[in-house]
Amino acid sequence: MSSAGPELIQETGGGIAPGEFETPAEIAARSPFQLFWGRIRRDKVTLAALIFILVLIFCAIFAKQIIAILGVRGPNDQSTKYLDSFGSASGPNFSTHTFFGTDGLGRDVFARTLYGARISLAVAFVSTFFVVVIGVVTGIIAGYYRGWADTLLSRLMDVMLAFPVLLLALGLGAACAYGHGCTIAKYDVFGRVLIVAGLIGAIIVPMVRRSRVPRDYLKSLAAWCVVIVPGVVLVALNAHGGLYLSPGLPVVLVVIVLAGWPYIARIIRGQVLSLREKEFVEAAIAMGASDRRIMFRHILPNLVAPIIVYTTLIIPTNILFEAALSFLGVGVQPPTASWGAMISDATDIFDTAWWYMTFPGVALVLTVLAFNLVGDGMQDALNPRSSGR
Amino acid sequence: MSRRSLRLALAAGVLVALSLVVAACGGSSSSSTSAGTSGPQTVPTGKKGGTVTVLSSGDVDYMDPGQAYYTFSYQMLYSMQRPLYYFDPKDSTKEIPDLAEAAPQIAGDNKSLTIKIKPNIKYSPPVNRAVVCDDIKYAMERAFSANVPNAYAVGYFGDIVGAPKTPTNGVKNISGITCPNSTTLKVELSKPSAGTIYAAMVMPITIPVPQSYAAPFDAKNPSTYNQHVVFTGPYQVKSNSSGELTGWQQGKSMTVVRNPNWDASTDFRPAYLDGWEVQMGNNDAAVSSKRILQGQSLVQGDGAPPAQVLKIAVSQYKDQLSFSPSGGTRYIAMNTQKPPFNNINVRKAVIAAFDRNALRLTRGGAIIGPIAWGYLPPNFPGFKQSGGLTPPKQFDYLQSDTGNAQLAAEYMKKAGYPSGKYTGSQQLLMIATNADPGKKTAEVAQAMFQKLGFKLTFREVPQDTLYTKFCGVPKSGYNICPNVGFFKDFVDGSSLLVPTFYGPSIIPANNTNWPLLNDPKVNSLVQTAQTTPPGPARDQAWANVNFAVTADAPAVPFVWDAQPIIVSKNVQDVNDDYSNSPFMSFLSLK
Repeated sequence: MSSAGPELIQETGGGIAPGEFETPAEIAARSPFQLFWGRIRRDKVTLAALIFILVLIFCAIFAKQIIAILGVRGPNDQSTKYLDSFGSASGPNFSTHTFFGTDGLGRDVFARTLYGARISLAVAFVSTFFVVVIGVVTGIIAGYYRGWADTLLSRLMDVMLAFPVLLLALGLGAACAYGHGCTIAKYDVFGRVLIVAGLIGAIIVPMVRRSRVPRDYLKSLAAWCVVIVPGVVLVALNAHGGLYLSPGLPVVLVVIVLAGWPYIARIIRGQVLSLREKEFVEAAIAMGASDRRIMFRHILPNLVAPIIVYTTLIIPTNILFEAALSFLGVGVQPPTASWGAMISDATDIFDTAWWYMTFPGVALVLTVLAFNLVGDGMQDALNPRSSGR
Repeated sequence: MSRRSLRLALAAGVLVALSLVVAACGGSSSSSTSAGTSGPQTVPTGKKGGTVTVLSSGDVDYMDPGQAYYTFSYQMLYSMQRPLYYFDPKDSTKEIPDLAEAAPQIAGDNKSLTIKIKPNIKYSPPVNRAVVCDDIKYAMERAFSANVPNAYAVGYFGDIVGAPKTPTNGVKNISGITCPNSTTLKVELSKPSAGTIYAAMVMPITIPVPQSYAAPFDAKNPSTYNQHVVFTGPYQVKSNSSGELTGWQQGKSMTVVRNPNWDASTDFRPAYLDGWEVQMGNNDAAVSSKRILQGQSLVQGDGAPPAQVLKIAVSQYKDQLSFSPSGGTRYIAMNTQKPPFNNINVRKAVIAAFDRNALRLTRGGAIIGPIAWGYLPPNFPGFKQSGGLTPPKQFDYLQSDTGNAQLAAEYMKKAGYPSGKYTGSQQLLMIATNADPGKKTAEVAQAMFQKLGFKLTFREVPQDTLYTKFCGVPKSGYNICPNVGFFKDFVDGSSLLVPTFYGPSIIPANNTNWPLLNDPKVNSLVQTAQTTPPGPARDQAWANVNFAVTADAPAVPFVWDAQPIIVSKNVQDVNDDYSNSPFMSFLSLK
């Protein structure tokens, strides 16, 4: 059962002639999606931003075909032909199909900007997915169970929020630069500790409450899965030879996810604390619904709007974060093209090779702007009572 | 930028820290735009008087001659101090007596040197007395003590009879260094290596230190003589009456003034300027380089102009730009002790395939120097005997500057890869620096290795990590080090070829034999060269070593580069090709 039903809209027809028999005006029910889409369609700015994002996604997916059609070299093809006798990059030149010029290694900046979109979007979507999944699940569990589970998870969020994220990224990047990377899953002892701690916690918490109902123990076990599951994953990975965390994309993803999930978890927790007191939850409990069913079938649908809004807003943040990490040298590794890394490489030669920083910079700005505009648009569309732009 | 560094992997910490700096920097000079190959430079007569400002990014490492090992320190030191021997800028390939009266008398067995010292060369205040033999003996002995961490004493002067093998607690007597009288120094050796010791006597370790004055400072760990140095050259850091260097604000500035006790008649340095100011903290090399080019009375310190400024300098400020040959080689080292590079044909294939011109372009192109084929640079003893700029015919894999894919394929087939490309499954660890221009060089190398079919695990790390954790540590398991280079400590083949390609030089940490080459033939030739007396025979002996190393194909040599040096329009520059920097005691204002 959901607290949010479809809105009933009275459609205003033409005027009714006096004396005519008045038939009741047709009342058409619109689904939330129809309402949402209707509002988005009226918001030209959001629509334009959405189209830009779709075009960008298309370009990222079909980058190889696009550069082939335009006669542009691959993103990693180096050539001294495009460098002068000092090894300096050459500017945009349509006759040589170097539309955005070349970099200091003679690579095509147009191709690299296009391929850079792949990294930015991939990192943004993948990391956002994990941030949202972890954040939402944790937030729901903390908000629904309250008590020990809430205390534990909330403190975990506090700890994660206290991490200096950039330093963490730089540290991980440096630490994992050895050999083939960090063997994170080799710490199976840590995994075992997590499992044991989780199991002990699952038993002790109901015991402290003097509960003798098996269901309470199961509930407790479900809550402590947050600790137990990572432990099991670590042990399992170790059994299969270990998992290497290499500098580059894996570090970027790990850092963004570690840094990002507590924010959404806090928002969701707050919402759930309120929702769990609503009548529809009480009704579900009265009907004997399981905790899992209540959390994910009844409460979760009511969180869709904040989740969507927050997701669209953290995507650009994550794009910028990836660019920042690449700028600092712990992002994607050469020769893979990334906007942040390109901007970083261009800083020393910006005064003599303006194109090298400009094009990836503009691409980054436009993409982040587009996602932000779409996020704002969605917020307005999903919550019409909020003030418009 | 480049620096002189990465040398012998001797004493611990200091070398580590310094080597980082060194590797980054580069070469040196000669007032000609044909970088890297320039010979003797013209030394114009200057006008007396005036001061200049040196713009530097960082500070000198030490003013204490027993500890100094950084190019920028050398730029300052060799105009304020006088070692036994040094170089006249007119010809930086031949040592001339500085504190010494003449070249040393080398015994027939090549196991001892006797050096006469000039009388009446006085220390700056507050010491004021003349230098005597005991001061040089003390200067050398203190460099073996733990309180005066020295990066090269054990490595280059370890053959002196009684020289400690590890740093000593306090300054200990070295029986092989004696003073028959106040102006005669005798050095006895346990091995017939007088040639190497003589060549190394240009290093700051032979700058005299007055024991009675310095001993209290040296009793502390680390020695505090660094803040109380006394000087023998034409200039000194401004100091107070007790000798404290009040003109040196570490990390900020340094004020250099004339040494009142210097006697021009005993020195080859003209010392035109009245002094100079060092302004530190100019971290943006592009900005400081432009300031120098467009300003007045400014001189380059530790930051070489980056490529984009160099380009502008060549076209618009040609008269203010000069190059100093670095006296070294940059190369891409392959680990010869691990597959697949333990196969010489694979190594030859790599060298044949490489576009070395593209590698050189990452550092500025032809202007910075010729493409290297061996490990003795132009104008270095043994270079001509090795064949000069053109690689000898038998090194077919070095004939093309831009790569020869066909020849590379042939070598790969000989190595057991019928397709002409590497088809093994091994993932090769390549450790690169994360800063330009080394980063760019590594990326070009990465693309070329991949073209040959190699699968790489490419890691970018800070320059210091590159040496302290990977390329300087054989156990780290690296396969390729694309950002290495070795530059002279003194003008002799032993300075360049022993630390880098001699098997016994391989050590567990701070190693500089990056390809881990341990070829008995090369080792035997090195031993022969080390015991050959100075002269043409010795140069030929080092040329033979160079030849044998090149035949082993342990690395891809790609440039004998030069250090670009810029000064302001009103400064008449003369470069010191030993320290690869403006020779402060030869500079003058126009």
